[in-house]
Amino acid sequence: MAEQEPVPPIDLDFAFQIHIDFKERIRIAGPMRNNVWVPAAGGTIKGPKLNGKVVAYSGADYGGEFGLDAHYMLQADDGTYIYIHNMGYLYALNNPPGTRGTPEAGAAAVQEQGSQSFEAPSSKDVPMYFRITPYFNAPVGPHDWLTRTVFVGTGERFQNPDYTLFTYYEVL
Amino acid sequence: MAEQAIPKIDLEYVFSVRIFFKERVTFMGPHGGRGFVPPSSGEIFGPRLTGTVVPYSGADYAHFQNLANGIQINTHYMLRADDGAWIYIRNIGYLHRSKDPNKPTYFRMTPYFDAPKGPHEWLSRTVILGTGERRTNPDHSLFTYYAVK
Repeated sequence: MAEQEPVPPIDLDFAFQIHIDFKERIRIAGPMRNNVWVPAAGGTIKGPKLNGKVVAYSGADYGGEFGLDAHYMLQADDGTYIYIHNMGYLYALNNPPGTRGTPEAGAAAVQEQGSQSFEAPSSKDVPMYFRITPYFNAPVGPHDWLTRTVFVGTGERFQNPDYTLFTYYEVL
Repeated sequence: MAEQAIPKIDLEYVFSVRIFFKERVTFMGPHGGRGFVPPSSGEIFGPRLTGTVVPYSGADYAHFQNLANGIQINTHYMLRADDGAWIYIRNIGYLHRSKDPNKPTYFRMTPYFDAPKGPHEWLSRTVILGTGERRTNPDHSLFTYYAVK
């Protein structure tokens, strides 16, 4: 067994928040697994380490029961395009972990049609939260630290309008 | 964006993994560098998981452009818990050369797991952060994992 030694601490530093607006939420019930298509209709990035916007319809969350798998493009205030890939889990406290939206909503219709639009409840209606890890690719220049930094994020979902607020911390 | 308090993140130490290595292969391909570093053995210890790393169950198939600038880790292994459960681990993140030559090369990463239904299935739905340090004599790395609560 390993020798006893102190557990190294992890330090986090608040980096930025990303507010993403949503309009379409499509669920695909496939024979092997389910997926969603939830594109970003727009959004803003604010914080001490990055400011800018989410490029509208530059990508989507394509995840499923297993969790989030979202690919988007961001654009920093200086015009730089930045790719973001978000992975992680969504927890709804009164549903099995990873459940998307309301599982009972139109289950029969999903089976008949194979896909269906769904409504996602807000974190206030159904206690739920995200825990995610984003990976970025930014061009060589002032934002390229994003491409060699590990981050952890939380998220909270809101309705009317439909948006999610993600909060990202840099792992120092 | 509405002005509101920035949500805090709480971390909980869950376990450490010590992995021993013998082979370290790298090559440059047309799209950049690729590594192959398989685990020859390893042990898992800590409050939430104890067990072993299955020898030669996978490797770090890392990406890099210039080894001196660090690498992007991309590992797939199998773990075996003390109760016999098989657990898949996929690790992504970065290896950084310390600016201080007296300090070791270090890792920051986010592992994703898949564990069978049962006592270890929390690993399949938990976001975990890892740090690591590369050590020599013998060649091994010590990884420390925290669950994001």
